[in-house]
Amino acid sequence: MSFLGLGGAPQVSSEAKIQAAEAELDLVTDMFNRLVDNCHQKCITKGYSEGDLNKNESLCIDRCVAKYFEVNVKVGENMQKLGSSGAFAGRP
Amino acid sequence: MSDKPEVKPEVKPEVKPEVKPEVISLDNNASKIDQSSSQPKIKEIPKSKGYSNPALRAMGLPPLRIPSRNWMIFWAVVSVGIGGIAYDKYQQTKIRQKWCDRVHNYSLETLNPNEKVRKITIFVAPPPNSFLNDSMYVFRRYIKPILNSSGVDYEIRSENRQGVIRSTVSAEIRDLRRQILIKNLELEKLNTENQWFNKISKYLKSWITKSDKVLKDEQDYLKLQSELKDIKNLIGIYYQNESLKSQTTIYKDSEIIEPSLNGGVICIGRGAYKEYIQGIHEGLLGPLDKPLDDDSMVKFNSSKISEEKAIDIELPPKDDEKISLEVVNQDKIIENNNEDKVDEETNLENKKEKEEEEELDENGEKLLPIPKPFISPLDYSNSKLAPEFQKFFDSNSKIPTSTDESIIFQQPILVIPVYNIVGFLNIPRNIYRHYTKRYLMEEYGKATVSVIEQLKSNFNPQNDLDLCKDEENDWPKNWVKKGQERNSEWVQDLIGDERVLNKLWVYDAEKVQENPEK
Amino acid sequence: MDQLNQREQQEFQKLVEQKQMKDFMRLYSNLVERCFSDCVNDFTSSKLTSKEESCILKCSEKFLKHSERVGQRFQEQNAAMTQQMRR
Repeated sequence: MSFLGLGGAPQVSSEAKIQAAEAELDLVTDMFNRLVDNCHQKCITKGYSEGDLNKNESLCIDRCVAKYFEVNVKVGENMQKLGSSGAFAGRP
Repeated sequence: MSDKPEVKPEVKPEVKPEVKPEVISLDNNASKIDQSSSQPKIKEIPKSKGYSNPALRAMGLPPLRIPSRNWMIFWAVVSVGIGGIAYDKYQQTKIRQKWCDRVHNYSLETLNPNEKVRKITIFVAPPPNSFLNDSMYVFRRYIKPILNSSGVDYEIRSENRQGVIRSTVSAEIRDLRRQILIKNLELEKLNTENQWFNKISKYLKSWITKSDKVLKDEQDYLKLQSELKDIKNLIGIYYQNESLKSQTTIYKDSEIIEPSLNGGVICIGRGAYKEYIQGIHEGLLGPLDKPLDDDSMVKFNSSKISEEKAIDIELPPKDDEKISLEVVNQDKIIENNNEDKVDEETNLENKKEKEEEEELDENGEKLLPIPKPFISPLDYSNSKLAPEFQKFFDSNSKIPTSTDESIIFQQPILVIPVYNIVGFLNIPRNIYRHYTKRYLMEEYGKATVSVIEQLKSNFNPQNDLDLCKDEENDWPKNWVKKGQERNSEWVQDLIGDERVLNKLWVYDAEKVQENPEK
Repeated sequence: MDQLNQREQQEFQKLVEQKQMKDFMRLYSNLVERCFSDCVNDFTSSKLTSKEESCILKCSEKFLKHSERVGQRFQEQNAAMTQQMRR
């Protein structure tokens, strides 16, 4: 699960390795939580009429997740482009 | 002429014109008939109001100032023009709302989180001499709102050149045939193995158990690695929830046994429909492998989009006039069809050369050539109908795919015409069409509702090959002529084989009831 | 993560389990806050009305199902993306 190519720098100590893997995990869980919050905000109406998701909401959620991932990828690409051209200073 | 009384300096002035009762003045200066009053008038009565239309005056309306005749004509023409369009748009929204409300209830049905809704495939092709955007406009305006309000998922497959739809559809069918063939072969193999190796395998197992421990460690390691990568062990919602972890995605359509009640296909444009039918025939009746050229199955760019963004393969410049694009399009059609003609005459080597030449298009991007049809329409009656599928055809069951939904040709078809006339002399016809789009909305809305409600009927080989044939009347004659000279796909007649056509289904807009009982 | 050897991976697994529990707690508190803010608006009494109770029930069900669905889609998309990146 190497996300966006992070965690690729070869490090010797196992502590550092575990830390890097942990950071990756945190990224993934954080992304998931944001995804849940955002898609809930955008797709599910507030007046709760029933406890089940209907087809519209389900479709909306599917598309929301797909678009979120696309945005993730695109922003990553843009960041790389901007980073390589030196527009950002000191980005870890 | 009325007399004005003389103004005496000491007496209060009387400026009011007096009209003697005997004189009925019908002239322009119609002023109030007033008795000569003894009371002096304080106010000055304003001068006469000027021209008042006798027609208005006859109707009893007070003298109004209306614009001149020319202006009236101008405003009348403009308001009729704008009013017509406004009325048409208003009616369109009303009709759209009506169809949307009709299907809205389907979207309120509940779903479990691991279930996926029914998915429709939509094939879009651009009208001749025009952009893909024209067909997408038809889709977005008339069909998409209704699909969205009904809770049905869709996938759009579009093309920018002729032949892409045909090749993708036929490739899909061929893939499935190959899969089933491989599965059958493996089954047979297993059967024979079971008979022979039963005894031998028992003997071998005793050897294997000695080296078991080493294997087990490795397996544990791999299992651990895969578990760590699995998101289900990471996210809170799966915490200690084994039943949730083992859930698999269920496609709602896979639960429906009847293959023609799965999914659906909408072809937008007569060209897309032709290519689709040809693709089905090619896939079912054609050979599994490419004739002439066995190595390097040519990959083709068929743009798959799930929303509106059309990934243009050859990036047609959208600002330029259509003329330049027409040249570009025809160039490509020439390229593709040159390949056709050349192949028939020369051998493999020459063909490969030509393919390499064609790979760069005007923008310098690599344009992979579209594969020729594996079988020509004239050979349909000579070939066998997909022997791999035979048992499924006999039992009228779903051909097994990876998602357990029925394969595309088992799903019913709907064709939506895209009317698009070009030309200076056709401007009046075009204007008329702009004013009458509400009829299109009604028609297409009804057709889309038939897709959603799954009102299908059998494909009628005599009539249904000509679905939306009237769209061809709109195709520019020059384009058609040039296409016929080059043998391009769209201008040829649609030939179908009865064995294949009898297995197809069609969505029937006639079956949509105007007012469903609810 | 592929570079961890076997012992490290076992240590890591404990870490992952801890993280999962933490995330679960976070999910729970998030859910409580959400249902409260969406459903409970009437502070004329200190007991929940039946309307609010039913609303909370539906809200929590819906949110959990929503999370499940997002989780499944997330997994699918993740798998698709890693496959793409490997190409």
